[in-house]
Amino acid sequence: MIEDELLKLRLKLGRADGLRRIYEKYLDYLLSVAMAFVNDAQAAEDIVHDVFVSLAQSAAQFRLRGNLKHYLATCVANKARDRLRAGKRHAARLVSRATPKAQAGPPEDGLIYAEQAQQIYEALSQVPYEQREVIALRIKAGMKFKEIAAQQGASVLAVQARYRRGMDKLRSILNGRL
Amino acid sequence: MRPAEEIEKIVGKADCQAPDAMRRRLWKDIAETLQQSEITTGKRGNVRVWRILMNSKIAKLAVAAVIVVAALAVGVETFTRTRPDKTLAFSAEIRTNMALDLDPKAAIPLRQTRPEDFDVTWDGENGGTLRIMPDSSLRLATPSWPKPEWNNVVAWAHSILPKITESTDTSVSARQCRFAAILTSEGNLAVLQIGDYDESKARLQWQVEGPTLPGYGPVQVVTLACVDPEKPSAQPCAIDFDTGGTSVIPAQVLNLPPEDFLGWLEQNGIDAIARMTNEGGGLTGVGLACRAVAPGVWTIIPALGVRDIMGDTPYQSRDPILFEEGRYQVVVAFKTREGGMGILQMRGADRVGQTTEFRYKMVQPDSPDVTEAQAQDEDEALPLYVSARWLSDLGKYVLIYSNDHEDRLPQSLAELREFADSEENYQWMVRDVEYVGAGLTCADSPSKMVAYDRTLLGAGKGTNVLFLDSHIEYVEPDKLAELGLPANDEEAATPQK
Repeated sequence: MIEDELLKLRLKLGRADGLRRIYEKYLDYLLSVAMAFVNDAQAAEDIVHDVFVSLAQSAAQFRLRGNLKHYLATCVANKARDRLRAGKRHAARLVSRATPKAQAGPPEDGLIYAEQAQQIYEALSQVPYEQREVIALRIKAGMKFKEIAAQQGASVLAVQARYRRGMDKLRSILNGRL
Repeated sequence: MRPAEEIEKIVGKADCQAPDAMRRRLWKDIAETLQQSEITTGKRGNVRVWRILMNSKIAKLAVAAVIVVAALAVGVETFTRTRPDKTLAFSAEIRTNMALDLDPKAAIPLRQTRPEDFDVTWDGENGGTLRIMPDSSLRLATPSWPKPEWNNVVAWAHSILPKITESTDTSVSARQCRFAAILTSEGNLAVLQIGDYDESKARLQWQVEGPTLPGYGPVQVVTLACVDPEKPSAQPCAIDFDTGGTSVIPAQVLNLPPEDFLGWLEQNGIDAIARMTNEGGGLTGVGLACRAVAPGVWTIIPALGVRDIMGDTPYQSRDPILFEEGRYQVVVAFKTREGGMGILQMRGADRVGQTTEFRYKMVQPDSPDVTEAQAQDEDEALPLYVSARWLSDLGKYVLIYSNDHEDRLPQSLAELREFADSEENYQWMVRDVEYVGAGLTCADSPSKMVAYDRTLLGAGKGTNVLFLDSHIEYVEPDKLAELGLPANDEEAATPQK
């Protein structure tokens, strides 16, 4: 926690190394969160890229008194949702059950993840988006239902219900696969 | 089927890793953006804003109607906070003859076409002036002290909320002040800062408290007679916080065995009774869960914060809430048996008259009603709050310094000057803070004192102390000696570390 407080302050003070350390610390984590949302390696990379670019643009005005990790996960969730709403092209990609494009581009430049992780991302992509978002923020980001409810603008009960329904769906999809 | 826990574990372990090539490629973009942002702050945003504006049908309609009405929000971010309320932060450029909506309806605010939804305009008077929309229900107030800072203005804005409806100001000249607190057309509190400006345009940054959040009901000031079985009083001596009703306890009830007496109180919905003991006068709860928060946060602590405190904390005291002579009175968050929540603060105890006085306000989830709250004696609240905030900043500067100096803390405050957010912040430290962290390192005990507010100490009611683990604690007068601090500033010598 203290390390994150330092990182936030360094970023606010305009130190490039503050952003660099945040980037190094949370890049893999955010890519995992983004993959849980979009099941598309290229889209996940774009989302995380956009989050950090936004952070770089607003570094001087950056003010955050909450949990840095949760904040970044929320930014990823917002960007993923923006992409979903951006148009049919993105929406189609987000809800598709397409195989993750981890192999796109040079092999040494693609996102690395295990086969089991790929199955999880694919299964998640079949869960309705609102439920998927709750599952990802709850499990991957470790956020409380209350925080997710604030982020989604829904009640805690509604978020918990989405989580239960999403987990049921996920369980039925994964049953027998893993 | 797999148990849910196992699914959670599997999902939690589904991780990705970015190869080195991707790391380098992404960072290159980010570093370039950071560099460009530092050189040309805001320039990219403005281009995007104008592209949005000129593509907007509503903007075209507004141009046709002579008045260009545009609400431009870029970079909408949700920030969480010391104040647990959800706060939305915006930045946008405003131009002459444009109107801006400060309320966080959506990331696409141009959907709203009604002029009454818009809040502020900009004109060239005095080199650049921000105005609230004429003939509107909006209210505007500006801080009166020189060189205000964002954090202090936010605290100040909350403290003047009850009074802002009385403000007659309608504009703020950027030459005179860059900050304003605005009660928006939707009744939200916006705190606004004017950035770069000229006669034709200005860059604005503002934050708005979430409109759907719970608020407080009106402040109630209550005087209760103290319960005394020997001298039954005809005055009310018990209160039900959920209804706000006070009750007289009949003489025959006062003489019941303790269990029956308690049963009567519960049956009648009583949440607390007034008591006078050798320790002082105050309230004793009846199934009332309490938690002392800190002195000085009466105005600052948001209703959502009370819900967080009483909802999550594993420890909820059921000790009496006593008036403490000669001290800042703590604010106590409480929860009734029926689930009602609020905060209260003792105001006095009359041993002769056998009465106690306190004030309280209840959290009202569905009807934020901050503007009806009565202005109370907040003079002591704001300095305590500002002191804690700035000591917290000092703690961060010390952390940064130690991180750069092999865990060694600075020898004096002068070494922290470059870290201070502003000269005003630094001057406050020099003027109000006694720094005692010289010679300490991060390896020392986290409970070592690093600094304290000597100005607060001078009032003789305790002070805020910064400890090595960066936490700030309000230390009451009788605990000062344990830290080697004098009871007031006149006795201040060299405290122990």
